[in-house]
Amino acid sequence: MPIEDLDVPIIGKNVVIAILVQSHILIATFILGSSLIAPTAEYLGMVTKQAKYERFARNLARLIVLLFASGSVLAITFVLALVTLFPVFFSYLQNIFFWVFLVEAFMFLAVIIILYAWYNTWDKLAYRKSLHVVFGFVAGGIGLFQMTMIDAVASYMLTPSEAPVTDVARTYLNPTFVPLNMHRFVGNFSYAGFLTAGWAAYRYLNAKQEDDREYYDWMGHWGLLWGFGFLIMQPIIGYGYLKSIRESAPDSFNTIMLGEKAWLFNLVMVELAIMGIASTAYFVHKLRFAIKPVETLRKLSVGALGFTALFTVLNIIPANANLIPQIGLVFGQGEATKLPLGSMYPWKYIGLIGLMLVGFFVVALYLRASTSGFRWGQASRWSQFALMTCAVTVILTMITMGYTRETARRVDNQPGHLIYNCITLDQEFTPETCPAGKSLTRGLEQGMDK
Amino acid sequence: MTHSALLQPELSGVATFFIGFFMILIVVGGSVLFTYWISKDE
Repeated sequence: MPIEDLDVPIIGKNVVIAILVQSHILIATFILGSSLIAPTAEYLGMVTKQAKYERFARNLARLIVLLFASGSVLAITFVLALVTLFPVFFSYLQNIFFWVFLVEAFMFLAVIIILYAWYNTWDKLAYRKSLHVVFGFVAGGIGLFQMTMIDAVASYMLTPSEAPVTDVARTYLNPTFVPLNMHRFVGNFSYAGFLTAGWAAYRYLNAKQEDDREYYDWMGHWGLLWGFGFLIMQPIIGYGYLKSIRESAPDSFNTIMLGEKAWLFNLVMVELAIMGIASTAYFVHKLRFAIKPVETLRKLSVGALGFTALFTVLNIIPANANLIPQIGLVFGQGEATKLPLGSMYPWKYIGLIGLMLVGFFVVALYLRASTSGFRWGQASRWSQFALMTCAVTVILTMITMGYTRETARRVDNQPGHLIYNCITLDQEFTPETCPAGKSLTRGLEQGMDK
Repeated sequence: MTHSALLQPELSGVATFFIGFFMILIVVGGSVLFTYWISKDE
């Protein structure tokens, strides 16, 4: 019996796809980031002969292997849901990106083989550690290549190239492909780092033995260095990504930055503020436990905390009183009521650049202090709560940013698009507005005629 | 013929936003709990 055009009651079919993809991404991003962090830790363990790196790398590798099951199930369920709920759209997508999907599928196979071999040969290759570390990096590298493939599809959906789809290079290297890839590459490390730090904090608070307290205290510091260290690169990379959206899909840019959905970006800034302040506060606290006293550095980092708070406030001030129109949160004259210090230029630029510079400054101070080492196992409870706050916030940030990017293609919903200006949410092809023109359905009409 | 509001094809955007958000947390939370469960006795 043919299933015809399906819809999902209550939530609608779009939300089903969103739930599956977002859930998959929350797991897959952790795996991608961790599968490069873990071999790095293994390598550091090999070089420094410090057992904590080896313990961390091995435990993380085991978690990756186990978590891979849930991540894969969600990926496959998502593809099944997409084929079932959006069959016409999927056939267009497959028509454009057949080779990308094929490579993606084989990369899946490759990453499974190498990742599992890496974990499984941990003891067997104990005396050929260099080779084993290479195994780990190869697994992480294949994961990155997979991400690159799927980024080609995801970026094309928002910014299709002004070229026929037979122009493979321009289709693949569409306007937001490179910035999206950079944004995700850096984000993988940051996300995995914050989650590692949050988990370490939880285990530290529940640790009964002294060596466990020392290990989890160190693990929180190690995770936060990855998390915050890569987070502070995002203002520049994220700005580049947004700039490329503004140049190639200006209506989408206006929707998420200036229009009715601008509150989403304010929400991202609030989340960034929480992570920035919590991380800097953790660093300030940790400097008290440096083996070699660093009182001057600590005072400088207290100043940096103040500046972090100042710059984050600049970032979160909305441009106007039209806060969240979808739920009626509008004050004064709405868009006509401009808020002081809320405009993009110069205040948001000052806020973003300032946040990044202060971030680099405080990380540099912290790394300098850490060269003499810390007294592990003495961190206070609130510093661990700061790490857990970062972990929860980074998950919320991922969800917010994922929703922001995908909802940008809706613009004013007249109509919303699956591939921007090319295929509507109702799976209608619109060749007159599509930058790739009729080439998008090249080959499909011939098939339909037969 | 009348339908219950819950059986209408789509709720308002705000409602689906929150339903979607909490379902993501449930699915990811479930996956993490499952992973924790299978790793416990290793």
